[in-house]
Amino acid sequence: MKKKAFMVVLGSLMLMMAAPVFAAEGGAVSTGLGKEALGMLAAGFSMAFASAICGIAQGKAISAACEGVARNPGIADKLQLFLILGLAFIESLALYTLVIIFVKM
Amino acid sequence: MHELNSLLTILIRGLIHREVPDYFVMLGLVMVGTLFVFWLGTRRLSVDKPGIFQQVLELLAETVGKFLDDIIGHGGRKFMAPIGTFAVLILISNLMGLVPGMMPPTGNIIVTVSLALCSFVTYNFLGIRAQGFSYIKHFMGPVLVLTPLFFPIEIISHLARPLSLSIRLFGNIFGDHQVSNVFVHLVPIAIPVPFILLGILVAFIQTLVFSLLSMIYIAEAVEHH
Repeated sequence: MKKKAFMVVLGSLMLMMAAPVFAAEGGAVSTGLGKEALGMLAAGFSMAFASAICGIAQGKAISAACEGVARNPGIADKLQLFLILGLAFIESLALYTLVIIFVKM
Repeated sequence: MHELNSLLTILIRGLIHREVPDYFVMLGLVMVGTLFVFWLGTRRLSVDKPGIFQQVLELLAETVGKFLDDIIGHGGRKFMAPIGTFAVLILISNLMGLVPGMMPPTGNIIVTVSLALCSFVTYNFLGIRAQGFSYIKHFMGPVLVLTPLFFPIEIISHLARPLSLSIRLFGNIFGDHQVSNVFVHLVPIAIPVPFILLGILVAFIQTLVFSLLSMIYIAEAVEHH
C-alpha cells in the first residue's frame, strides 16, 4: 500500500511539471519545460507504455500457441497461421502509437 | 526525419523536370515491372516440362488459392483476382525497401490508404453483388429490434477496417525502413544483415496479414446465413 501511494505521488509530481507551460505565453521556452520538450517526453512515455503492453500480450499469445502445439503436434500448421495473424494484430496496436509520433514530430 | 529520394526518382525528375513524388515513381516501377516479368513468365508454358519460372508462378498461385479455399470455402477461387493482386503488389512493394537506393511505395501513407480503400470497396462491392440489397442485413444485428443500437456500431467497425489496414501496413514498412536507415548510416559494414533479414520477414508477414484480412472480410460479406 505504501508503494502504491509512493507511485501515485510520483506520478502526480511528474504531471505537475506541466504547470509552467501556462506561464509562458507566445511559445517561448522561458520557464520550466517548453512545448517541444513536453512533446518528446509524452512520446517517449507513450511509446514505452504501448510497447510494454504489446510485449505482454504477445507473450501470452506465443505461450498459448506453444502449449497448443505441445499438446497436439499435428495441427502445428494451423496454429502457426493463427499465431502469426494474432501477433500481427497485437503489433499493430503498438504501431499506432509509433505512427502518431512520426506524424506529429 | 529527412526525406529520402531514391535514385530512380532523382533520375526521372531530371528527365521530365517535374516534381514527381517518390512513391509515384516507385509504385509505377513495381506495377510495370511486375506486369512485364509475369508476362515474360507466361510466354513458354508447358504441362509436361515446366521451367523454373513457371513453377514459381504456379507456387504463388497455389499458395493464394489454398488460402482462399481455407477461408472463403466453396467458391473461394473466384476471388483470386483481387486477392492475388493485393498479395503480389504488396509483397514486391515491401521487398523494394531492402534494395539500397530504392524506397518502398508502401512506406507512404498515401499508397497504403489507397490499397486499404481498394480492399474496402472490393469487399463491399462483392457483398452487394452476391446478396443484393439484403447485404444491409449485415449491419442490422441479430434481432430486428436492436437495429438502432447495432447500426452505428457496425458502421464504425466497418470504417475502422481500412483505417487499421492502412496504418498497420504503413507503420510496419515505414518504421522498418527508418530503423534500417539509421543503423546503416551508423555502421555500414556488418550490422545491416540482421536488419535485412528482419525486413524480409516483415515484408512477408505484412503481405500475409493484409491478404488474409481482405479474404476474411470478403468471406464475411459473401457468406449466406
